[in-house]
Formats: sequence, structure tokens, C-alpha cells
Amino acid sequence: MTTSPPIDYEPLDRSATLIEAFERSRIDPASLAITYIETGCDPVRTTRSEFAITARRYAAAMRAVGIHPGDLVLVAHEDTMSLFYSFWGLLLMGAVPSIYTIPNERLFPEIYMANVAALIKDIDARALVTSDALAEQFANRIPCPVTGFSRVLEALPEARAAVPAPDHRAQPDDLAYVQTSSGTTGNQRCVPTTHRMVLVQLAALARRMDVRQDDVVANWMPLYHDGGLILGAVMPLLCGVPVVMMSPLDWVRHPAILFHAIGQYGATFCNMPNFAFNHLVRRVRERDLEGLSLAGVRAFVNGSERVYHTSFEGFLERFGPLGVTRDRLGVAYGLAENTLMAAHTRTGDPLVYDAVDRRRLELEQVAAPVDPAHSDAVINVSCGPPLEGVAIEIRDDDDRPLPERRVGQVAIRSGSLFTGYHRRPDLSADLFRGEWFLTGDMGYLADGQLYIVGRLKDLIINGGKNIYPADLEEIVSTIPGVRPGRVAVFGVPDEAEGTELIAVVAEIDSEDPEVKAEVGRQIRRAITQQMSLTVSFVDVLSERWIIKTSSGKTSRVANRRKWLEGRAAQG
Amino acid sequence: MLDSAELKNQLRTFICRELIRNPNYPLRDDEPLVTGGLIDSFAIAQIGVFVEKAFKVYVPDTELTVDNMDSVEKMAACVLASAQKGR
Repeated sequence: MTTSPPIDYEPLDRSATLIEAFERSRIDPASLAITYIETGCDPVRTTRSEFAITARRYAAAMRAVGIHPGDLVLVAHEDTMSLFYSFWGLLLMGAVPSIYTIPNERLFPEIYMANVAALIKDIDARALVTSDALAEQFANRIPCPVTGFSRVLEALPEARAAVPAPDHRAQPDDLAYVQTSSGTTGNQRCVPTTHRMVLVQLAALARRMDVRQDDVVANWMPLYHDGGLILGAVMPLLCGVPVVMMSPLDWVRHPAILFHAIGQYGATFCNMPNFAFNHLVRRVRERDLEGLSLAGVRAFVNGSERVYHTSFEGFLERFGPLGVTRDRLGVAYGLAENTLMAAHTRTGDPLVYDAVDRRRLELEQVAAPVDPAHSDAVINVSCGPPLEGVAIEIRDDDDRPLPERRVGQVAIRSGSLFTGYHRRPDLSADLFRGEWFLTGDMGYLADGQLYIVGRLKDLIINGGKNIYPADLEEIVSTIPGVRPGRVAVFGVPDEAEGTELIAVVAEIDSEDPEVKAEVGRQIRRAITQQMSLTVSFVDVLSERWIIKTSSGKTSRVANRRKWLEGRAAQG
Repeated sequence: MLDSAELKNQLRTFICRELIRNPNYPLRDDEPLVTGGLIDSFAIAQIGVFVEKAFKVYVPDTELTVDNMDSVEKMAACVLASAQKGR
């Protein structure tokens, strides 16, 4: 285990902006900042001074292509390093970056384009910077200027030319970036994030993680995700520790690349959503583990979606022999509205499980301890105590604080909390109670630890991605043959995958099995092409199956229960 | 020597049972898997694990791509090529 000194907190504690925090760092400029690794390619190593110079060149290039200080700029690009240089360059010149997901081979280009156009309008972006291929398709079809990436590269000043630091000076409460989110077109819940919010968050988070000078972060999470951007890029830079970056697409197809980051490049911290633990357990090949030790890792931290204790147990079983122990597994609970995290375990503390009575949890909303071996025990995993500077309360339906071990909605008050969704304060107005924010997540507190057990929001979290079932129901309803309004989409918790899988039930008139199979194919294809999601279960039925509420709405809870009971009956 | 027809049979069975989660799914050998929304990118890694276990063939990461894995036919060709090279 490491014995190196803690990082220097002065830049995080005393800087006004992210830029200043980087500049204030007393870390040797010749030390390593980023190692970018990719399957089939040589690693690219970047020192802190190289990063600083390149980011300044990007800042100058962004000015040269017509972006002004204060402009909100949407950036969508598949290359992780170009994306991060664009982000930092835009910060340097005083623009406000917002990183958006990129299309892939499955998503329909027309749909992606419509989403981007709607987002640009919603967030009032003044420019889109993207790949040349997309820029060409987008030209004149969206309500702001589009810049292809080769124009940015052509505008980069010579590497050897001395590029002056831009003269723009941001203030702590200026917007640093806008965090985009999933969500229905026109209802994007984007989080305007200020410099102060990020610095307050990082100062608390780095202390809770106990980041040391010889730590190395590994990150494959996408930069359009708050975890990928802040934990996997900004935090290492401002804490003065190196990061090994990977492309999320590469990692999904070749999960062992994360272990190269550990084995070859000495990574000690890795934060990822729950499903990633299962992905590694199930889809790393034996050959890729030959000669590997994971004993140098201080923490694999599970954040971003519901945490399953079975995911940790599977991880320990497969990778325990390589050096993973219970005290090197961490858990975090967070939300972009609070910049990133709200609770986080302490590095080095062993995992804490809480076995509670399932019946009392469901019927009385009480987390009553039982023997973990009890047949009706539910094992919840502690997300740790709230971060320093974050207060957490559990509230009932009437907004009254609840005592320990009573389940209610998680409310937070914090120095890194946002003040409302970007240009859509109407969507967040109902969620504030004075300084408190209602998260929509359900949980309880016990011995100062936070446990999450569910959520109020009608939402599926699949592979760390937030999905609104109504969006998918709308897509399925447009498929010819599907009875209008007779569609139900819901999430099915799956322990093997460690995430919620997507199930679709649709009613059609035909009883012909071939017609049903064809409609099933169309449902999968449509959801993939329009949302880039994979549906795990499709039931196309001719009988009346779907349960509606008395007001005629599809009851997702009732349909899910019926579906699960049906599966259980089939064995 | 791996038999191509047998390889396709086993891949088809595995994909329907484990990845599409419907053993009775009428999967065609040329049916687009990833781009058709039947399986996702995660499944590409899972195919790699399955092929290593079932046929003792290690398909290099550089070959585990959407292009090479988008149908039973393409997968089988890719696995056979890796088996040839691995000799």
C-alpha cells in the first residue's frame, strides 16, 4: 500500500477557477499528466507542460474559428484527447464547453442530428465543434455555426510559437461548463456547473478518496458523462496525479484494456458504474490475466447506478487471486446536480453491507436488520458517509425529516449544488426546498452511512445511462401493427449484468408467429437506431396483456410485476 | 480443424440463448446483430470469451470489431482466421 504523502490541496482550496487551480499547482511541469492507450495503437504520453501548451494552442484556435468568450459551445467528437483539449482550450478562452455524446454505427444519423439540433436550441449553444464528417452533414441544418475539427487543427498556432495565455479571467461563480443529460427532446435537464461548484466538489472528494502523490487514475468513462469528465480528466489534472485514459467504445469491446492501465501503467484508482464490475468479471479472457497483479489498486469505486453486492462478490471471486480485497472496493453516490458525488466511502475502509428484512422494507419502508442468511434478507451496500460540506436528509412525502433506518427521499444541501437546470428552471423549481434539493432517489441512513434502495423517478438506468421509458414507448407505438397505446417499457434488474435491462411488451392484432417475430425485430431495430440502446426482452402478444391505471395510463410498476411473475412461472 | 458449419451452429445457439435471451429466436446467419439491435458492443467481448472457452481460439482484441462480429457468418469467418493464425 502507498506511503507517499497526500497531494497538495492548496490549488483546490484557494483558486477561483479551474484554470487557476491548474496554474497554481507546484507539480513539476515535466511530470506525466495523461497517458492515452488504445487497442492496437502505441500509447501517447503527455506531460503537464505539453498539456498546458497544447490547451493554449486550442484556445487560440477556438478564437480563430470564430468562438467568443462567453459563448456556450457544444463539442461532440469521438477522439478523447481532442475532446479534452477542446474542453480545456474553451475554458482558457472564456467560452463555456458542453460535451455531447457522439453517434455510433447503430444510431440513425437523422435522429442524432435532430437531437443535436434540439439540444442546441434548448441550451442556446452558439457553436458546434464536431468531426468533419458530421460537420458536413450538419451544415445549415442547425441553428448555430458548425466547425469541423480539421478547421480547429488548421487554426492551431505552431507548436514552437509562444502562445500567450488568454487574458480572460473567469470568476468563481461563472459557468465553467454545462453538463448535458439524456432526456426527452425539449426536456433536457442540463446542469450549469460553475468553477466554484467543481472546486468545492474536488476538494471534498479528493480528501475522502485520500489521493496521494504517487496515485494514478484510470478512466474509460466517456467525457460527456460527469464521472468521466470530472473524476477521469479534471480531477487528476488539478490534483497533480497522472491519468490513464481510454476510449469508452474500446473498453466496452475490450474490457481487459483497463487491466493494462493497471498492470502496465500503475493505475491505483478506478471509478466506474456497477455494470462495469460485471462486464470485467464475465468478459475478460483468461489469457488477458496471465501474469497480472491488481494488488497495487487502492480502490475500484462503484458509482453512477444502483450497486449490487453480488457484483462485488463476483469481482472478489474472480479477481481476489490477483490481489483485490474488500478494503480496496469503494462505493459512491452522486448526481450531476451536485457536480458529481454526494457520498463516498473512505479509501481503505472495507465494504459495508447492511442486511435488512425485505418485507418490512417494501411494506413499512423500514430498513430492519436481519441475519444476512435469512431467506428474506436484502443486502444493501453502503455508499459511505456524505462528503464534507454535504448534508443529507431522508424525507417523507410531506417533506419531514425521517429518523435513521426509515426509507424516504434523499435530500441534499451542499456547496457544490446547482441552482436550477440550464434555461429550464421550471424543471427544477419543484425540487428545491429552500437550500435543500430533492434528488428523486430513495434511501435511508444508518450509522452515518447512506444506503440507496430505489427511486421515485420513472427512470431506467441501463449501463449507467438514464433512460425515460416514455421515450421508448413512443418509438414502439409508431411501429406498424402495434396497437395504439398498448405498449409497456420497463427496467428489469439483472444480477448477472449488474444493471437494469430493458423489457418491451407490445400488443398486435395478428396471431401469426412470423408476423410477431417480424414486429419484434422492428421494435429492437427502431430502439437501437433511434436511441442506440439494446432491448433485452421483447414480448409481442396478440392477447390483451398490458395493465392500465384507472386514468388510462400504462402502469409500469404493475406491468413489470406481472412480467416478472410470468417469467418466474416459466422457470 | 474447426468445422465451419459446426462453429456457426454453436455460435447461433450461444447468441440466441445468452445474448438475445430467446432460444427460439429464428436467427439467420446473415442477420445484422449489432447494427440490427439484437446485441450490443458488450456482447462482442462476450463472444471473445465464449470462443476462447468453447474452441480454445483467442481472437485478438484488434479483430473484435463491430465489422467482424455483425453476423454469425462474419463471426465464424473471423474465428476461423484467428484459429489459422494461432497455429
